[in-house]
Amino acid sequence: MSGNTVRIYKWFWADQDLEQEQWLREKAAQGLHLKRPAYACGWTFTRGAAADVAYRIDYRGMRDAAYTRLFEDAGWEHAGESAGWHYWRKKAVNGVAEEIFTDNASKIGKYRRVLAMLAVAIMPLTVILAVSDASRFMVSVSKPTMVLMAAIIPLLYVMYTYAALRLFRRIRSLREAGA
Amino acid sequence: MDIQFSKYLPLSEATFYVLAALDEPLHGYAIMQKVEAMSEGSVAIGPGTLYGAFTTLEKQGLIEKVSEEDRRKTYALTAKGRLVLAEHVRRLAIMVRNGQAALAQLVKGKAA
Repeated sequence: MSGNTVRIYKWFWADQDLEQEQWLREKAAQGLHLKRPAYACGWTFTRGAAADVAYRIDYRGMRDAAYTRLFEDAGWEHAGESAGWHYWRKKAVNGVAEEIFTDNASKIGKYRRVLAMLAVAIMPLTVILAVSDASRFMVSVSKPTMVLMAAIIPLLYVMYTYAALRLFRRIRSLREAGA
Repeated sequence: MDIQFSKYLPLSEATFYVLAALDEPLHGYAIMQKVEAMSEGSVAIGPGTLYGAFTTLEKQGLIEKVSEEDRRKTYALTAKGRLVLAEHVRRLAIMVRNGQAALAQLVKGKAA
């Protein structure tokens, strides 16, 4: 087995955990095993033997020792962490991938934690924008900086809002499906 | 103890089995195995769901951590947890009786 690593750039929205899991399983089937999950859209894989490996993603923020132990006891390996997202993997048996969330209530709980994180993450910028005197600030920075900020800040809010709306939609469909 | 049962009931399938498995203090993985055996393989609780259930049930005061060893937390049912479980089972028994009566009636109707 060669130890070389492969870097792949791919974007996923916060509600696309199932798509990520499927994508990681396909990569494992090609012999690409997750080494480090998405950091600024860049995924690092280690090249090895092809295997049918199930990936499952949780959002926990900080994980405590008991959390890790519970998953390890149940046969899951911690494949990596990215900004509070935890990537767990386990060999699929006869093509069957186990779940880490076995009812819709706990799946909804996960998306609610993600929503709370999004709200907290956008808070500092929102407070700064709310309390600062924008017109005075804008004349104090150079024109390119001003243009850049005027473009990036609204884009950031659009992306956060879109991500949140997608999560709400996911929660609603799970709720309609029942417990 | 005065308990507002509507705050906790009905229990979800996973929550019910976690409480029912805690007729003796157990740690997480032991609960997962016991539930699978108790439910005759019909209910499997994943570690993500179980960890969330621990957090919720501990906050509600239905279970409590009794010890921690080797990063494994052992939980036990509290007095309140026992009462909530008992009330849930009482309501389930009524449902089962009604269900059986309805089915018997349907069979009789068909035979007539």
